[in-house]
Amino acid sequence: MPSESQSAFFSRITAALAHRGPTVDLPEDLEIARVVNGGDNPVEVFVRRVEQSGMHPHRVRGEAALVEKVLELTTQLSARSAIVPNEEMPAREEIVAGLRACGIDLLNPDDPDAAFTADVGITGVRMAVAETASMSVVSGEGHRRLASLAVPAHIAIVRAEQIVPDLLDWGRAAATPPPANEVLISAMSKTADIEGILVPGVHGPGIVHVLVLE
Amino acid sequence: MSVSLPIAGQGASAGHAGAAVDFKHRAADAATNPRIAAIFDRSARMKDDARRLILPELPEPLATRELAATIKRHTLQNLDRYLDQFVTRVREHGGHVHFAADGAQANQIITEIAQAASARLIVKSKSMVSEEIELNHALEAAGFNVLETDLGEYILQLANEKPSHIVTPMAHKPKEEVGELFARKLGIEYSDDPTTLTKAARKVLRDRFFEADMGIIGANFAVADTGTVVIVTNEGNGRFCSSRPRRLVCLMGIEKLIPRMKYLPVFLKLLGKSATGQRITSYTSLISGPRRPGDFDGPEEFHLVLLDNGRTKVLASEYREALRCIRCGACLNACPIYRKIGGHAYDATYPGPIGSVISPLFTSLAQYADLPSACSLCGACLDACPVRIDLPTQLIHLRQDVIKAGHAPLSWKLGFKGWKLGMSSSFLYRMGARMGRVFMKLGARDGWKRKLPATGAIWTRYRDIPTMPKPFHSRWDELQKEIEQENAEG
Repeated sequence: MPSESQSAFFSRITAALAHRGPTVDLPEDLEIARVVNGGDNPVEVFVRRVEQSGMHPHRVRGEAALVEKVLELTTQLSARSAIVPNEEMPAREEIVAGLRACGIDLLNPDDPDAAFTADVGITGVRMAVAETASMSVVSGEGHRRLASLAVPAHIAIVRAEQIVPDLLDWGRAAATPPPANEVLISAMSKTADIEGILVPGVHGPGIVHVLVLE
Repeated sequence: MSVSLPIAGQGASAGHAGAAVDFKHRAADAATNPRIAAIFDRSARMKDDARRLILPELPEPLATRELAATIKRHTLQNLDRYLDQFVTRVREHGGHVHFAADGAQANQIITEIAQAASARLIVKSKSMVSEEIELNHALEAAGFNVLETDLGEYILQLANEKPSHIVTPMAHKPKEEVGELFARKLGIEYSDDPTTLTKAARKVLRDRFFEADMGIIGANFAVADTGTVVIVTNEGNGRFCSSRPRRLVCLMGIEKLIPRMKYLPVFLKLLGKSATGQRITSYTSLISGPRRPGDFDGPEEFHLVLLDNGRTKVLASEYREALRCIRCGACLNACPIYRKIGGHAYDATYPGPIGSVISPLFTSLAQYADLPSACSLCGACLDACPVRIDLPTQLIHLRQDVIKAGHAPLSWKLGFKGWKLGMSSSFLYRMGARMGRVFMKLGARDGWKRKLPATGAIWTRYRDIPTMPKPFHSRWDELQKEIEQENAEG
């Protein structure tokens, strides 16, 4: 490879910093940037902002209601096939059984191309953020990166207790070492590249349903 | 079909090929083209208004921006230390790290990665730094098939044009032109409906994502303590590029670093709001190396290419703060000059106020000697910048550098020499003033002159100029009388 050597590269940077200037300390307290507090009822804020972002929030009480809602939504989406990765999510077994009973074709999540043909992808999340209506999905055992991306519609299942108030809280809760991939999903896939006119579903899902399990 | 007037620097012959030779002519062409003014004014104002509307959602918008500026200031001051930590972490994750002193070296490195992988199709997420080094040209010259996947960049690639904005690259292109382009290149029926056009592009790019074996991304941020690169997209193409292909290359400028993950939220809070008036972009991807044991998908190989390309030069200079830039484009949207002349007139990868600072710094002052003057010093850019870069001051200093380096036009040099001469001798000063008064009186009416010769004509084309009054001391008696009279009346 024609790469410059690491030492040559770094010595140029260090030389450039010969005059570092007056020392600037790294600020420790970031609270001035906080938008949502724990006292603000993060679940309420999350649901409201999910709606504002163009995604569809649904609050459900208990796992039975959750399964029912998932089945209702897949019917509403006229989905004929689904991908449900083998990851940790509430009531996974019941959801899979329910979909199967409804005649939905459950694609093998171990087929790397399955997400490209599925009508809907159903996933859990690692964490959710009220401030920005964000849901963190991660890579790892059982997870499928494309299950929330290559599908035309994504159903995300969030436990109410997974919702933190502010992005600052998400930043502090970062795993070490980090997963190879983490995505904050904060809206459906969209573009406004042509004359600033908003078009949903350009590459990823144009429809995102967010189920909040309380 | 729209009636289209030609846009300077945007010929079918691509990019800047057809553009006027120097900035002043390009700017004049653009400023007198009603279509450019209308398109850029509308799209820039739309984003600028959206930014103003959403920023107050932060309880302390200014303090939050100052906080971001301080974090960046600290990082740049310790860049060697943080970069070293970052490189170590990326390697711990199993990533390969490459060092490129300049664009040519980065292009060579990425070409060799593609060769080693025998890449058949490379999909690329939007990246300004790859535009800076003209990566696509290099890969195509080496025989590789590279496809831009951001909708705007994809359209520009089909049209063989350059971006005119760093966030919304095809701000200059009306939907009718996209319709004609797609009809010609994709063989679909003509439509100017953005939804129909977007669907057509989705269909084509879908298949490409499916088969691509190498992905290239830029980086919006890089986190030193976790060895993570961060990209933000609204479309999801960045996710595809970094998830599906077996090999992933991330090309990033060394200034993208932040020290720790806990600081990332401060920047995420500001970036989307400042760029497009969104609370946050649809997708924020955090990539920490290739797939891990037990991961089912994701790239098997991860290559990080760290690029200098003039950045250490800026780091060492009085312009260090320009490296704080997070490329949100807010200064472009706020700039009255950019709104009038659009992005292509700058003939640089980075247009607008930030471009007028970093284009000459990254390349050469001689090449972009005119850009520091493409500014009325109104301060709208500083007011908009989420990391508080004092662009007006930097532009003033760059103007001084231009003069010092001798890049000023001859008329300037002679003019200022004459000025200096006149100002350093009382005799010459008085003589000059007397001659000026006589000259200004010629052909003047009611104390106003309608026409000036030579460069003065630029002024009198749009307004009159008053004649020169008598010197203050010779008006003293008159003024005394006026005051006495006023006092007597009062």
